[in-house]
Amino acid sequence: MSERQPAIRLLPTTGLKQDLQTLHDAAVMHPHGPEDRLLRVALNQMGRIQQGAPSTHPLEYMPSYPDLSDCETTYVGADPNAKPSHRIVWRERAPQCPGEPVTREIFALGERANGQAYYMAGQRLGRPVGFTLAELAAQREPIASPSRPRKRSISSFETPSMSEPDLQFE
Amino acid sequence: MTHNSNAHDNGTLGAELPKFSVNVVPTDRLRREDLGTMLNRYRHGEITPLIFGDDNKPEAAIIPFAAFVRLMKYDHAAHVHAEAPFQAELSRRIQEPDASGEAGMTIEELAESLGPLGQQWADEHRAAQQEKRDE
Repeated sequence: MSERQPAIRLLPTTGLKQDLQTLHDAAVMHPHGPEDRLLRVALNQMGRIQQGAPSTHPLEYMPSYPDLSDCETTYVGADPNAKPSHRIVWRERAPQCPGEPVTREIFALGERANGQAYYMAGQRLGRPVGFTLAELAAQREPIASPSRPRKRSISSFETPSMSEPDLQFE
Repeated sequence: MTHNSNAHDNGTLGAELPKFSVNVVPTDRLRREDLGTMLNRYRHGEITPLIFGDDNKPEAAIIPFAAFVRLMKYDHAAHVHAEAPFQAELSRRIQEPDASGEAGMTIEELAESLGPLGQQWADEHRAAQQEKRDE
């Protein structure tokens, strides 16, 4: 490895590598075309992300999208005179052990139109649309429906005392 | 509520019952008094189920509530056992999605892995970085 050890560990996910590979292969087919320019701009931005640059803005939860509120978005576009056409979705993770570098995971490079980049990132993160991170985490717990008034709750599946007279069933 | 599926029986020790026969009471011969009789028996410690159904098919059973709870416990334990690996994987994906087995790499290494245009970008990027350091 010829590069200096960066202070930030870049973790390109499989999905991102696919996005870049598709863009690269299209750029090879059209030298100096928009794909070529976008590839260079995207790599430049990812280089800045690796060097610690801030995102364009952090993402917030929106019900019509997967919850990416722990992620950041960086705008990229091939045409400097137009609104950036693409988004890089990434997330910073604190080191798990002292002395380890901060990790920046990049999940997707996708089109801004129709929120494509965000849906792709959500899919790769295994996050369905309309569920917050808290709700997804809560699904790990057993789901208990609230007891109806007439229903007797048998806690912990313990066998009830045979002498109790108020058992009712529906 | 327990369920009729035996899917979680696979691999459960002792899940396969030996064959047994039952007396099926036709549904139309079941009387209200029979329920009282069964309840009385259960109160005295008997556990024999009352099995009934139509066309001589065992379709339902009246059993002591303690036996029903035991069945629920069994289903719950099997459910928890089957869910544990799934939930662990779900938890891992929420915490560290798409990171399995993926090592960190520099942006230059990533670019080089793409092909000739990526390699070209990496060379230019390294040169630009070097120039910046030399200034």
